[in-house]
Amino acid sequence: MTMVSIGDLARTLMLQRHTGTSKQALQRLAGELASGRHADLSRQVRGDLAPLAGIEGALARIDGWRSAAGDLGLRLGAMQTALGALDGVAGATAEQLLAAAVSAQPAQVDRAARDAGEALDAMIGVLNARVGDKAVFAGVEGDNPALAGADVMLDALVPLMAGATGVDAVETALQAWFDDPAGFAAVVYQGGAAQTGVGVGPGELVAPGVIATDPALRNALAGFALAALADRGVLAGSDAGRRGLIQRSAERLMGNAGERALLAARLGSVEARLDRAQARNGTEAGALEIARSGLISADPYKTAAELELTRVQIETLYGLTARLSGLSLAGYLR
Amino acid sequence: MTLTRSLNTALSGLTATARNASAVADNIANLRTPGFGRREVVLAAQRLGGVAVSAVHRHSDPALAGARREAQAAASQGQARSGFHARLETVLGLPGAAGALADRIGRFEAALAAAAASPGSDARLSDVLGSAKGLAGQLRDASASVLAARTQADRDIDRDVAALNLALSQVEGLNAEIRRMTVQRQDPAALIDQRAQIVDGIADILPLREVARDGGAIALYSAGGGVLLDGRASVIGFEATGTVVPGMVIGGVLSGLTLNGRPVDVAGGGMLGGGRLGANFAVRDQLAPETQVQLDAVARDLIERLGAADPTLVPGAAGLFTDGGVAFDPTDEIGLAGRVSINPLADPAFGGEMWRLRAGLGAAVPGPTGDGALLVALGSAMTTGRAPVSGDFVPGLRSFAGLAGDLVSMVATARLFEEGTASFAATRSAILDQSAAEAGIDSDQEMQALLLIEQAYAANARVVQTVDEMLSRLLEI
Repeated sequence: MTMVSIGDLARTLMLQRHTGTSKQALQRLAGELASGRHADLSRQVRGDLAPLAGIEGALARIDGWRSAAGDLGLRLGAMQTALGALDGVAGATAEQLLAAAVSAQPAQVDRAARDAGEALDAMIGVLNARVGDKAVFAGVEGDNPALAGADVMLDALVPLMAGATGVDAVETALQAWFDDPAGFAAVVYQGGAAQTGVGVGPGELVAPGVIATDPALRNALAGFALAALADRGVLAGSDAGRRGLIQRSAERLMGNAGERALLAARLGSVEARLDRAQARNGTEAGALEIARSGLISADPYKTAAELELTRVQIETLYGLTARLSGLSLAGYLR
Repeated sequence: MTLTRSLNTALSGLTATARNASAVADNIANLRTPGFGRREVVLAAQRLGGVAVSAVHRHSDPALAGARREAQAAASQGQARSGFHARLETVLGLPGAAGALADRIGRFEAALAAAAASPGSDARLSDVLGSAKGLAGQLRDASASVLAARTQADRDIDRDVAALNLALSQVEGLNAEIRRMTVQRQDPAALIDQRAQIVDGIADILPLREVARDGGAIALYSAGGGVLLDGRASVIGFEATGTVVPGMVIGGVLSGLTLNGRPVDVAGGGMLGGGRLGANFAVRDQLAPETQVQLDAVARDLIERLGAADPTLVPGAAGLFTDGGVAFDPTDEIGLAGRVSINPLADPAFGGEMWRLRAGLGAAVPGPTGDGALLVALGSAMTTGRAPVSGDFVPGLRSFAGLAGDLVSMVATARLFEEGTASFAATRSAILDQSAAEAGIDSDQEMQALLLIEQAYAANARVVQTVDEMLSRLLEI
C-alpha cells in the first residue's frame, strides 16, 4: 500500500529558505531607507549606466569650470580696479597740467611736470597689479611685473629727444617710440603674449585679452611720459617749449579718456559673459542633480511600506516555526 | 508437532518485529540526514508457517536524484559566473561612488579645467597630476582584479579536479564493497547512502548521470557524454599554472582537461563542460580575457587621445599616459590596462617636472607660467568624440567618459544577466531539494509504525506465553 508522507526535513527546509529570503529583503530595504538610494543601482537602471555616468561627468566638469571662472573673475576685477585708478589719476593730472600751462609760470610748469613724473611712477605701479602672485596685465608671463619702472622708460626716451627742436618734434618722436615694437613693447613691457581662452562652460572659452601694450593703456602712459620729459630736462632752455609739452600732455590725457572707457567696456562685457556662464553652470548643475536623484534615489514611502510588510512576514514565519515545531506525534504518545 | 510449530512461528514473528523495530530506529536516528534512503522491511510468509524478512528495502527516487544533481550543477555554475561579474563591477565602481572609474575621470577633467585658468599655480598642477595618477591607478586595479580572477579560477579548477578524482576512486571502492555485500546477502544500505552523498558532491563540480549496473554498482557519465566511472574510475588530468598573466591562453601555457590522458573539451557543451568546473574554465579562458580586451581598449583610447593633443611630442614619443613609462606600441596591447602609468617626465617623484603638464612633455624649458593653452587642449581632448580603435564597443564617437561609462554598463548588464540565470538555477535546485526532503523520513509515520510493531510484538509474545502454558499443562500430566 502506498502511503503519502511528507518528510520532516521538508518543512524545516521550506521555513528556513523563506526566513532567509525575507531577512535578506529586510536587510536590503533597511539599507535603502537609511541611505536614500537604491541598494542595487545597476538593477534599477537595468544595466544602462551611461546616462548616470554622463550626469556625474557633467557635474565634475561644471565644478572645474566654476573654479576656472572664479580665477578669471578675480583677474578681471583687478583689471577693472586698476583701470579705475588710472582714470582718476589721469583726470586729476590733466587738470593740474592744464592749469599750469594756462598760468604760464615757469615754477608752476616745473612743479606740474614733476608731479606728472610721480603720477607716471604711480600709474606703472597700478598697472603692475598682481592677483595670486601673477601680474594681471602681463599676459602669459605673469611671474614678471608687467612694466618696468618709470626710470627705465624715461632713460630710454630722453636720449631720443636730444636733437628735438620743438614740441611737435618731441611728440612725434615719443609717439614713434611708443608705437615701435622695438620701443615701448620691447624695453618697458616685460610680460608676454595675451592669454588664450580658458574654458568656463561647454564649448565656451573666455579670455581677458588685455595686456599692458593695449593702445588705450599705452597712449595714457605716453601722455604722462610727455609731461615727465619736461621734468627730465627735455626742451630745458625753452619755457614756452616746456609749457607746450605739459599742455599737449594734458590734451592727450583728456583725449585718451574715450579709449580708456572703451577698454573698460570691453572688460565689462567679458565679465558679463563670465557671469552668464556661471549662472548657466549653476542652473545646469541644479537640473543635473535633480535628474541624478531621480535615477538613484529610492522612494522613501514605498520603501517604508515594503519594509513594514517584510517585517510582518518575518514575524509570521517566526510564529509559524514556533507553532509547527511542537507538532509531532511522538509528543502525544503516552 | 503443531504446538512446537506454533512456537517457532511465534518466534519468527518476534524476530520479524524486532527487525522491523530496528529499521524504524534506523530511520528515526537518520531523521536529519540529507540523502538518507528510508529503510523498509519487506516481509514474506514462509512456506512452513511464520514470517521471514525477505529484504530490507532502501527507498530511493533515481529520477528525482538525477534532476536534483543536474539542478545543483547548474546552480554552482551560475554562482561561479555571476560571482566574477559582481566582483568586477565592485572594482570598477558605479558612477557616483567615490573612487569609481567615472569619479576619477570626472576629477581629472575638473582638475584640467581649473588648472587652465591658473597654469602657474603649483597646487592646480599637482591636482592634475594627482587625479591623473588616480585614473591610471583605477585602470590598473581593474586589470589586476581580472587577472586575480583568472588565477583564482585556475586554482579552483585544480582543487575541484583533485576532489573529483578522489571521489571517483571512492565510488569505485564502494561499488566493489556493495557488490560483495549483495552477493553475501548482507545489507549494503549504509554504503549506498555514503555512495549517494559522494556522487552528490561530484554533481556540484560537474553535471553527471548515474546508471545502475548489476550487483548494486553504478556507472557515472558526465552530462556531455564522457565516461567518469564504468567499472574502473577515469582519471581527470589538469596542470595548474602558478600565476596567470595577460596573454596566457588555453592550449598554450594554460592547461585544459584530459580524460584518461586524452584532451577533452571543457566549453559549455563539451564532454566535461558545465557545473562549477565549466564555469571556472569559462571565467579563466573566456569571460576574463574578454574583459581584459575591453579594459585594454579603454586604456589605449586614453593614451592615444592625450598623446595626440600635445604638440611638443615627436611622433612615437610617450604622452601623459604611458605604457609602463614608455610609449605605447600597438602590437603590445594585451595587458595594457595593467601597465598604464603617468609619464615620469611630468612626475616629480620620478625626477620629472610638473611644469611639463603646462608646457608640454617635449618642452625643454618651463615656458610662460600663464600659458594654459595645452591644458585647455588636453581638457577638450578628453571630451571630443573619438571612435575606439580596439575593443568590442558599438561603433560610434564617444568622449572618454562616455567610453568608460559604456564599459561599466557592459559589466553591469553582464552581471544582471548572469545573476538572473544563477537565481533561476538556484531556485530550481532549492525546489528539487525540497521535493527530495519531502520524500525523506516522516517521524509521524515511523511513530505509527512503531505502535503497530509494539502491538505485534506483544501479540507474538502472548502467543509464546500461551503455547508455553499449554506445553507445561501437557507436561504436568
